[in-house]
Amino acid sequence: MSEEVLRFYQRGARGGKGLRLRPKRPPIIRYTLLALLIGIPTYAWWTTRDTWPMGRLIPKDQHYALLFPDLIEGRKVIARSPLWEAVPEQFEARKFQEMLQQDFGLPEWLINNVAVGAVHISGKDTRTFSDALLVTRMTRLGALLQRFSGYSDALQEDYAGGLELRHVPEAGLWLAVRGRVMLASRDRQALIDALVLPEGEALGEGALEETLESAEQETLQARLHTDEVEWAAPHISAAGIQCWLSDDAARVVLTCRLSDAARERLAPLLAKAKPVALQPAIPGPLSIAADLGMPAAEAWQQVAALAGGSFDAAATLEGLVSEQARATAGPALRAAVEALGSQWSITYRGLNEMAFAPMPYFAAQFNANPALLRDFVRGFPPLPQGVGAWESVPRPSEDGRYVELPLIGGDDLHPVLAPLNGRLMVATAKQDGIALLDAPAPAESNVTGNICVTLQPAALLQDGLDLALQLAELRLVRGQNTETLPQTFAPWQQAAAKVSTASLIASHEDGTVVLDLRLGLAR
Amino acid sequence: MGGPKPCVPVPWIPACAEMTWRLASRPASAGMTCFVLLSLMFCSLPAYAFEAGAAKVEITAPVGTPMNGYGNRNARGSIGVHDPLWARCLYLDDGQTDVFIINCDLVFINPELRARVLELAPDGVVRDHIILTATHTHYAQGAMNKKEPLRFVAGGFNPDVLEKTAAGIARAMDEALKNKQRAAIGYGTIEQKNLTANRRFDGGPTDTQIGVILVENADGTPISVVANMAAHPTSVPDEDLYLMSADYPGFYYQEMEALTSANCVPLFLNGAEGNQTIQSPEGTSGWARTEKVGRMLAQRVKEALDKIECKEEALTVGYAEPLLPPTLASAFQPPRTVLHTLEIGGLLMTFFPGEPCVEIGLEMRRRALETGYAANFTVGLSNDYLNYFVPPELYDDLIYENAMNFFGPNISSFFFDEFGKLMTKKPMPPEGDEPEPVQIDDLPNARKLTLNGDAYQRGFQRGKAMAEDLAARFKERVVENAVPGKLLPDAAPYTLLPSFIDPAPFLLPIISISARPRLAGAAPWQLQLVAGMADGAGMAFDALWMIQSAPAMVGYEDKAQFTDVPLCTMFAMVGERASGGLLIGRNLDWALPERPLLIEESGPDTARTIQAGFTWNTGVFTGMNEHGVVVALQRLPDAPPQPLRETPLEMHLGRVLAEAKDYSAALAMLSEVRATSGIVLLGGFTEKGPHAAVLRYAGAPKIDSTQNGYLPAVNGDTPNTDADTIARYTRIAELSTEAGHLMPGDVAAMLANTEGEGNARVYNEETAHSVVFDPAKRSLLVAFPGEDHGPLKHGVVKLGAGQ
Repeated sequence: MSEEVLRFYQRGARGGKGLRLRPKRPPIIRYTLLALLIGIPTYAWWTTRDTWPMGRLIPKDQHYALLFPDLIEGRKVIARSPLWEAVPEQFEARKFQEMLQQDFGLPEWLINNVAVGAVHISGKDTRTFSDALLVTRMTRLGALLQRFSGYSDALQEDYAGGLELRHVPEAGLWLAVRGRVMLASRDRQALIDALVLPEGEALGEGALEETLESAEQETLQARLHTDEVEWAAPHISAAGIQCWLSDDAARVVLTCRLSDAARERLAPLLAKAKPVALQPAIPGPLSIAADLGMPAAEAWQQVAALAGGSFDAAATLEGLVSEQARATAGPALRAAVEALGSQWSITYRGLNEMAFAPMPYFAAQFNANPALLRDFVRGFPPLPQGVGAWESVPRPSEDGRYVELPLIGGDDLHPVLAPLNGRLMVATAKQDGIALLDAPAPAESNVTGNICVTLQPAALLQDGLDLALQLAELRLVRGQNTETLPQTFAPWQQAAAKVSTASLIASHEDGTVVLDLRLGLAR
Repeated sequence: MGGPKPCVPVPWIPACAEMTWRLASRPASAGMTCFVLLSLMFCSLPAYAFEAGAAKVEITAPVGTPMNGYGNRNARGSIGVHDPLWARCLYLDDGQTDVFIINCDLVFINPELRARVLELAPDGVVRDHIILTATHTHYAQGAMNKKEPLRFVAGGFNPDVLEKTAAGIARAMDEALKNKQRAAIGYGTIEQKNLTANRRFDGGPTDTQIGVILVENADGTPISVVANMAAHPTSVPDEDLYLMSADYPGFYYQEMEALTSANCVPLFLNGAEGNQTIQSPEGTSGWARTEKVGRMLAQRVKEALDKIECKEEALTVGYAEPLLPPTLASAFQPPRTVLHTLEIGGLLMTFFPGEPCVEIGLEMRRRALETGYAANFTVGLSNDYLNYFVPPELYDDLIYENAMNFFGPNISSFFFDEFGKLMTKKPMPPEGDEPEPVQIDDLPNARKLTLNGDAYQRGFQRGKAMAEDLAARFKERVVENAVPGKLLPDAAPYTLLPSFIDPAPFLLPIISISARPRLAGAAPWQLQLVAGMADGAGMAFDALWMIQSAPAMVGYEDKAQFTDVPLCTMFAMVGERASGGLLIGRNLDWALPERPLLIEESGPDTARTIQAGFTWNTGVFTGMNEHGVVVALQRLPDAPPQPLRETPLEMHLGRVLAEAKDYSAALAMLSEVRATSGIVLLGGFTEKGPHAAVLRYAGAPKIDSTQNGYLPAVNGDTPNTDADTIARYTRIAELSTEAGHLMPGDVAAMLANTEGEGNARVYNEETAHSVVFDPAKRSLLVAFPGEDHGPLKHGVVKLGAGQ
């Protein structure tokens, strides 16, 4: 089917005298182009060499430091974390999330090239953070692009005696670049100090890299030298923070070195405290399990003394007993208290808002001398003759399972004490105590530390609302009534629903305290 | 009101109900029509037979259930059962109206229980015709209240206890209906002298009447015997405080069943038992006493039964849910309650939703008999529980019953009025019930209220006119002072309360109760004046009285804001130097923002009076009556604080103006008064001419009097006098000396003198009103300074000018 197509070529206006070869370009242009092709990449490569270690530009005597091992990735993780939804809308913290999520007006690829990998923020001002110094490393492309930033109206050159700073007036920020490292601060002097830092006063080459290598995929690391920090110095000499954030959990570990004064002050309480496997607390909206390396009664005594008071658990218990039976039941209770071991836990079990007065239920567990547990109920003095059944006198129950102490308000304030799972259990409400006796034994805990506080925010808030409604019914809540209270609580409840559990594990060893806060987050 | 039964098929009487109505609507033959018409014309028998049924169901809650009745049980549970508790139900049906009378061995009928019983009651029963009463045994289950503070006493709410108790009551109703049979009813009364006593005052009033209702079947066998007597069932010995028991009514039931038949269901309806208890017949004590009273009651009732003739009586049920009077305790008292009346022929039964004191029961009976009823039984603890009701005369006494009375001194009148609306025989309306509208005159320099009528009406007029200001004063003086260090103790737990807790709604009712003894020296009409003012302003009585009392009730240091201004400048010029023989000048200095008023009153219980006062004060600070008696009151800043239970002097002055016909009578009355501190200036006339006296109180008054010359309220010998006060009085003395013969205008000018500084000046920044009395002419010059405290301009007001 194809036919030859005849093509006719018309010469141009300058042509007409037959086919002419294009005139040759002068060699100089060709060489120039070639030079440019080779020279520009070479220049770009040369000028964007990674010649400065970040640690060389960071003063080592900073009072605080924050290290984001990967800020760009961390930003995404932080921004999408359900943790923000656990903050009621009216709080400013929500704005931080919005800030992280906002469009900076720059392409993502550009942002990814300006700050790659670790970002280090440090300074000396721990009150207003006015001298915070940000140090980060750019990619080659980022480093190259920043060279053209001088053409932007937003930036002004600041010669600074040859240090060649750049000033962003609108942001109140000074910038400088050394190699591929970018430094930024709102404090011009802090930036200059970093740029002229003598080698001996810098964090040092490789220091930051070592830290990063040892990091455990934290979202954020921070440390605090407290000697110069007014509010912290009396208590701690140094502190470090590590944060991990993921889609379903958040964890913050604070490691503090107690100051000498604090160690001396807390010695009666902490001298014997070393991390141990803690017994599991009885389940409930709020619990505390502890082992401070000394008998529970002694630990409470020391806590009370630190607070400027005194507390004698045995005497307090004896005080609950009616006078006519104090001589018989009192010593039995004292003996029980004295036989308690160092492991104990107390759990808030819930609120009976319909009790004679809105009544919280508590349950506690103690490890104790096995001999005490074996004979506790059987060996307890029976109700003395002539003492009314309603009197506040502890007595063994008819079924021999527990010792009970009727106080006031019926079963809601009617403590029971009983051996349970090898420990001594105490419940403030009779029906709750019996339910615990009938419940299956809980799994052993794998928590190591000295104190573990666990709470369920949603359940606690619900109890708070129930209590507030009771008070509002009597018009005791200022500015609120039974209709407005649920509305007031609603944002908090929505926020609390995002945190399924929260636990804080505190450990102490040889003057170092580690606080490990873990939040379980729910979408 | 009890109307006819609803025309609905009633499952347990299908033949009766449905047949009757079908007959009425069936097309009839002419013969049948004539027969019916003739029957209607000549037959006097009622269309229906009188029917009745009774039943009882045990409602004792399980051992361990919290018990109600005593706070000192601290809501603990029971430990056993001495004798069972019952719900006893009597069903009456006269063919037109049916009614359930249910008596429960409980402390009271709380709204939660009543609501559940109404839900469970047999279908087709008119809910408004269910009358629930409690015997008030203090040995019965609690745990049925959802609301505080009753749970403090009755124990934590247990829905199971509520459900089973209500179900028991409903079952008693059901069985009473099933036991329905042809019956006749009669009533009577019998006296008792040795069963009940006044528990508050030896020899105090008691109700000696035992009311009795007998319901017999066609054979003359008792279906039920109802006894009505007023006495607390609180007789179980202390050692058995935690045993369930019906108390003496339980023994009444037993004995009554023995005296009649085992099938008879005796009921016990407690009366106006607020301040009534049982005696100890034959020196008995403990359970023996309880049993003796119960059995003696049954025996007395049996005596009455023999005289009662039963027949088919008409029933009328009255039902209302009226709004209750305002109360400071609105945080824990309802806005409405349930009232029932039941008329059985000529018997009127009035069901109170709480514990009326016996005086109220007796007055209710007097009114009922006066209206034409043959008998009246007051039944307490019915359908609701609003605590106690005390008569006005007990309102100033801090007895337990009064401390639990939350609806003011006129709560009895409220019930009399409301029951009156439900009664078929209408009581005579009280004379002059409608208060006249208040007359308000804006004079050039003052605002004047002219009030007429009895004390209540005058108070009502005043309260209504000043409602807005009174509400503002209450907020400012009472509510805002309900903080530690003011009206609350400056100690834990009050100081520990978090800021979001407002203790006022809960604590003000309690605080206000402690202010009631301050009314002890007030005349009954003054109590009514306060009550009228409160009603007129739409406030609780206690709220209004707290405005009056709060300044005295704040702690000594904190009451400075009310008293550290000099109260005030007052003096008399008597004899030849005074126009008309007597002139009395007075500046009332008062730091608090007020709306000063002239209030002129007249009524059957008071002489015509005029006073310069404030919207809220129910006594008199500055006033004159139609007999030319003038009184004025001054307190000194350094004087000892007024004790809480002391009647304020201004109340005594109010009584003097209302009652004293001359100077001597007024002086006699004021001489009898005892007060911790305060100075009263008295002026007036006797047959011997004008007189003036200054009474300085420190317990009994120290009296200085004169018939001629200048008499200041404060002189150099007056104790607790500060430098400013001395300077002020010194200046007045100088001015009086300079003036020579004084006309009222001269005294006014002296009171307006502005030489000197601050409170040392006669007219100072704190002067709230300035008055010159000319008693001979029954007139006064008065000036109320404006907000700018500018120069005084006195204007003339004549007593009675507005008549």
